[in-house]
Amino acid sequence: MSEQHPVGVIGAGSFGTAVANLLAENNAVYLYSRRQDYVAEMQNTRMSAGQKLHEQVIPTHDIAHVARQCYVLFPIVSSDGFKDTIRTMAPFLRPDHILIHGTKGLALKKKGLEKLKEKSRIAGKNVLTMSQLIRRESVVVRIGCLAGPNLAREIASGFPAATVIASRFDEVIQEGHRLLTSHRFQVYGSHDIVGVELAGVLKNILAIGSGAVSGLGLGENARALFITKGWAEIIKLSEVLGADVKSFLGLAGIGDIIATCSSPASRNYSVGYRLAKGEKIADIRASMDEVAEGINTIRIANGLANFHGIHCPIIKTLYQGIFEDLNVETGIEYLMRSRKSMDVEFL
Amino acid sequence: MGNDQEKQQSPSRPYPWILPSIEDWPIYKISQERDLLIEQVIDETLDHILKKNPTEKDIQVELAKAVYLEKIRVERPWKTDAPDEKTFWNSVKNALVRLESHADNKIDEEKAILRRIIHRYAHEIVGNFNKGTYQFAERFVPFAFNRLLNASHSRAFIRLFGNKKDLLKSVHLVGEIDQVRALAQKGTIVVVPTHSSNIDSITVGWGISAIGLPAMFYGAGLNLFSVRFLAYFMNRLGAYRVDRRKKNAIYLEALKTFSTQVIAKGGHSLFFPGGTRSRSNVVESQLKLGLLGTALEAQRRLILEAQEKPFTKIFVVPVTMNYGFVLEAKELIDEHLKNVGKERYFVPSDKYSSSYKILKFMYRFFTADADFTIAYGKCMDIFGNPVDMEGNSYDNNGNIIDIRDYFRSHGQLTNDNQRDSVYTKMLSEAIVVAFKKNTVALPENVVAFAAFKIFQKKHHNSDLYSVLRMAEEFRELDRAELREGVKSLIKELQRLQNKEEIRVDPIVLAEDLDTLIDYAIKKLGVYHPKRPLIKMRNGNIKCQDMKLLLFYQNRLEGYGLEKHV
Repeated sequence: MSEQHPVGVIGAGSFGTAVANLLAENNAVYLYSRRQDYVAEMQNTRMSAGQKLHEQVIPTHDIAHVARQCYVLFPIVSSDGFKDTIRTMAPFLRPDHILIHGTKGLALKKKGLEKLKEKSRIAGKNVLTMSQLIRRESVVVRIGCLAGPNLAREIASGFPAATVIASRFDEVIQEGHRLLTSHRFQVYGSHDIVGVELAGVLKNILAIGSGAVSGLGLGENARALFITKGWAEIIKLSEVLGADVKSFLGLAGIGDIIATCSSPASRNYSVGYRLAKGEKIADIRASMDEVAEGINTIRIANGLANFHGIHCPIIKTLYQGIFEDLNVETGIEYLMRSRKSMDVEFL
Repeated sequence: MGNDQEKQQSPSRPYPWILPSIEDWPIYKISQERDLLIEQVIDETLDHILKKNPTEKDIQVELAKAVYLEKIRVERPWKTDAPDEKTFWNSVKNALVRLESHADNKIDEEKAILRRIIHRYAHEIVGNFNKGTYQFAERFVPFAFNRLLNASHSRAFIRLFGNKKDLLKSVHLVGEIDQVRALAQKGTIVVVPTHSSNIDSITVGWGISAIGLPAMFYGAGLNLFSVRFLAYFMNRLGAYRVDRRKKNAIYLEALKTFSTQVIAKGGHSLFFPGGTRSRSNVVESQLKLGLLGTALEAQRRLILEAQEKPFTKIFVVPVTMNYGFVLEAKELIDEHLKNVGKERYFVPSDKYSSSYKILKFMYRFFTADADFTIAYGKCMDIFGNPVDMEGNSYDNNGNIIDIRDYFRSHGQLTNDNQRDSVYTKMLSEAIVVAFKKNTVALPENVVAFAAFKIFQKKHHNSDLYSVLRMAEEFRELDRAELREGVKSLIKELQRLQNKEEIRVDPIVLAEDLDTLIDYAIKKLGVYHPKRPLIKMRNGNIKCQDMKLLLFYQNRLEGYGLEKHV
């Protein structure tokens, strides 16, 4: 029955395009971009974000049409533009829509991100994951998220991969499974949508740091130390926001960390690498086509740690490294201060 | 709030009945076919249980669990329990043992046993509605209350409401009363009140009739039926019995089936979604999903039956019961403190089990001259969306929603229990928010809150328990200090009220601070043996019972008010 309905992907960045191509193996897919000229370009070249478009992918600029034709939509835009995108769609959305997003970012209920300082305090209740943002800005309730080790370039190259679809609704997980599963793509389910979202979002912090460790040439022991201890900080923060620790052991957690923290293909990793090589954050940002979500995420994570009194030396050091020009040696010295604590405290 | 109503047209009936003739009331019509209803409940419950337990083995396990739990329960009987409880469960057990030894197909015999149990439960749960009793109670209850109130009048109580007291002046009805009345005529309403006191069962029923709504199917704790004179009325006023001791799946299924049936048949219903009285007096934030889920299931049924044709809509009405005085406060807060931190199984007691006790209780309540406000929150649909006077549902952006869409997949109306369970959680989240918004900050709560927070700040190095055990000499407050605390607290409360995040009793905002503090101290727990706060000769304030003070201040927890004292 549902095979007759096309599926919509909102956002034609590299991951959006990769997902559209995956979906196109089983369905007709609308690929929406808010930029009309880009849609025209896709139509002419049949290319998007460096990937060839599957023949079943239809580029479009008409959001109302996409919302009317599709029951299942995949919003995959940067977290900066996420709220505006949902607001644009909201008038056309109904409670029978299913939205499965693939955006790895957080939003704030009140303050703008730019106003955040090192000492800013953010209460967990004022931080929204993208699923919470969808719920707040639209009538849609059947919401899911897509997370896991899904480097867009590798998916585009047809390498085998797997993902997690998390939702409170079995129906959403089943739909995601039905639509995405193929001989080169596996889909797992989870009910802990907040945990899966946070694992996917917060691991970008470590990807930046891991890139910096490489850039500094500190070796693999240092990287492992950094990632493992940083991960513990992230888990503690996530518990405050209502996540289930188990999600951090799955594909969206450990799985994604292994992929992003060791791959120069990851945007966040390259941010860290270039920082370590002495480039300024503003220049790095200006030179990238797509947003490195980890940069904003570090600001929010730092504010959360301040508010909830959670000791997060790694996040703090990264924050200072990026926004306060902390020099590298001081950063390392700070991290290596001996701490008399037990190894695993979060389980 | 702008559209609050406090109508006082006639002393005993401020709002006319929405349906003048009792014969037209849904509860009357449904109760006319009580036997049929019971049969339907039995058939459907059996059907549900068999679906959930498809194999012979599953049924056997379910039966064994029920028998095990019930055998434990009957060892400590309540007065309301039928005399043959032990005999019945022994016979069920023996029947099961006999079946064990059979080798061949047992499923039919198991079904028969299951049916026997459901039959018993259904008869126990389903109440009745008697027109005569209702009419008598309707006339008698306000009359009796008014007599009680006026009998107490000669006592020198401070009064802010003038001399002549009647029930309506002592009980304030605020909130979206016009909307509730309108929607009760357009669809089926499900009233979900907060639960603070044993007296809620009486006051909420009165509150329903005072705003002109017909009697409702009402889930009442079995312990209330142990009061003979209450039981007489409740049995005939549409109350059905909810026994919190019975936690086996068969009982719960029968209870839920009954509730779903009556709501789907158009019977306005009422149950306390918190399940039990709030021990700490903090507004409920965790709701029981079982009965809430029946409202959702009823709505899904109505929609699936109607398909694309018009259907009866179900509206949820969050109601807060706000008391400046809870007689059993001491017992409640003690239980709360004992249970904090321990996930201990709590054995409900059947206190207040004699007619005398409950009458004394009611008398004290209504003669105590305590503040009592029932606040009716904005009505919502079964998914927690706001609705207008016509019953249309709206999304966050102000667009009308066709709620059928919630039950559709790929354009088709479908049945999905897991989806419904998530919707029920969403509804409970929306009710929790509505409870907070509609909580009324009474003078007693405001002053208790300020006083308690000042104590806590003075002893900021101590934990809650040390503060509660503070020696007497530390339990004195400087009046000026309390006045300052109350002042800034009121400022913040006013700000929250403007944002519709809480309701503030008009007295709190109208009186000057000293009058307000004196008024609250006088009223705070007026009938407790030890009043929480007293005025000292030097004008200072002393706390005589920290636990009670905690109880009354707890009502204002969860609003971030502590920063403003």
